[in-house]
Amino acid sequence: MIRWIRGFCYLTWIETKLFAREWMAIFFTFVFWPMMLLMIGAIAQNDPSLVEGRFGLIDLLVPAFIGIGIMNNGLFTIGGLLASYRERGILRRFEATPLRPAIVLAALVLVAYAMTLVSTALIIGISKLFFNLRLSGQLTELWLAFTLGALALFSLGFLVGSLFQTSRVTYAVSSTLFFSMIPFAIIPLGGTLFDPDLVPPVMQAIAHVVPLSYVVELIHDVWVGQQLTANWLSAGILIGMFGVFTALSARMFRWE
Amino acid sequence: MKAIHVEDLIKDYPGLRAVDGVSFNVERGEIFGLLGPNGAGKSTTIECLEGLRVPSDGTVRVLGFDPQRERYALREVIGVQLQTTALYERMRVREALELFASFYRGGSPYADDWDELIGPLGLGDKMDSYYVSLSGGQKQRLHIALAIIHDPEIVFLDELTTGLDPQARRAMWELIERIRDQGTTIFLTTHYMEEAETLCDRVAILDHGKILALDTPEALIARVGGETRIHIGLKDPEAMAGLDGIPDVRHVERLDGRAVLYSDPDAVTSVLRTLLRRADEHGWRLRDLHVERATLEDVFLALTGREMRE
Repeated sequence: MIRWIRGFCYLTWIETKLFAREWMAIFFTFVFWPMMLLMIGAIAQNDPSLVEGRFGLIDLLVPAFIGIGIMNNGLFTIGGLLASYRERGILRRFEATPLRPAIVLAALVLVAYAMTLVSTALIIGISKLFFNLRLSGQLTELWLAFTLGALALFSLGFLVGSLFQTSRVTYAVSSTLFFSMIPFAIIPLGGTLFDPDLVPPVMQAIAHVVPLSYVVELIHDVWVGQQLTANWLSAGILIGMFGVFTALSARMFRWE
Repeated sequence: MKAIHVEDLIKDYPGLRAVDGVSFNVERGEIFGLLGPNGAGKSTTIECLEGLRVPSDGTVRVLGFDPQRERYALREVIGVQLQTTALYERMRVREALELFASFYRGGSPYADDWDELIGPLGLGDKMDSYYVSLSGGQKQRLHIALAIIHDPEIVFLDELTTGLDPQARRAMWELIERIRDQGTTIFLTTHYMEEAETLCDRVAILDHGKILALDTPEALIARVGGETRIHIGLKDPEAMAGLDGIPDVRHVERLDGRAVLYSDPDAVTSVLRTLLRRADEHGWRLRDLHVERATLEDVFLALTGREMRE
């Protein structure tokens, strides 16, 4: 066990450096969504009169942005990199060393998790600095909700990265999933931000199978001050999705 | 214990038997080559030895290990160069060395001074270069460095010099010999006759998944009765006629001012002496004279009835 740790640590360190050298990853993790938030905030402000004098638009959008950030790294970092490493034969080269396959995945997951955590802190920090962000929930609960979301969406990325032969197809599928899931980040805000009855039944039905809506719902509920246990159903569904996605990708995954 | 022991190895793919009952042993400290045309089953065989493919049938032992059941123990003591291989584009050479060293229980004996490893490979000034910025040959040499980084007992090289120019290829051969001189066993595949002949102590000729012959290159050539060819360029027709009756010449071929004498390899000196004496006596003007000994190419031709080059 002990001797795997050195390979794991070094691989994690390398993956971190590679992440930092990839401007696309840096841009979409640390620049794009904070920039969106800044622009929306500059236009619409964060006036607390929006929701019973307790929350403004930015307060409610931040949980959605956090969910989208997790999805971004799940689909593009985990899924995208796995597919491209496999396609280029990097995974196969590792297979010819004593390195355990699970170590490669673990290092990738750890780096994606840490980067997402940093980008989340950045979003919260910027919103606090410029828009007087109001957070009613506890930070530990928020972190737990974030981690459950990461489990579900990272394993979805792992699944997408396991299913397809080429990284081009993987990228196309990842992008389609990514952009079609984004609207569902808004649905959990029904009831606070808008009248949920206005959402067509079809969209509501789809929202029930979209992982992102559960992630945002859980983060949102904790954000506005609920206990994590109060929304045990969403938490349970996310854990279930994690189990199903992981089991499926473990069956489908190929190192070459 | 043999370095490698293979018995009745079979590997089936859907609709294709890629390796068809191959058996051989590799001694410690030798350079052993698997020679054959593309699609002969060389890569499949080497990958079964490395534990990267599961044999359909047969026995494989590498340093006494079963490459499937004891794959991680085996991979500690072998070094592998894959036929097509890649690394993270934006990883520096130094990082690649440190990363691969971290995979092995004992790390790398070169860790204190990487230059000792990559200096002889001509990468000494590339330590901080990104992988993507290296030339094809430099990448190839880096992969060799990664294959020997942990001082393995056996190094597997799959199509080592494909894509290299002749000069780089020769430099690579010298390098492989140097690695062997340190006591490492080398197992390689190639479709270059010259590579097998120059580099390998023993060669197995593989075609359609079967070993056709296995021996030292010299013995293989001798076994098919490989004749040495003496090429001569002559202008005057009467000189052409005078080539008959040289002792030890088995056969003469003539075409447009050129002639080829076929002789036993051991008799070349006496044939040349007779030839030159006649030229001297009759005043022939030799415009060309060169000796071409039989090669593994002739062996392959004799064994399969076709040329190996595609």
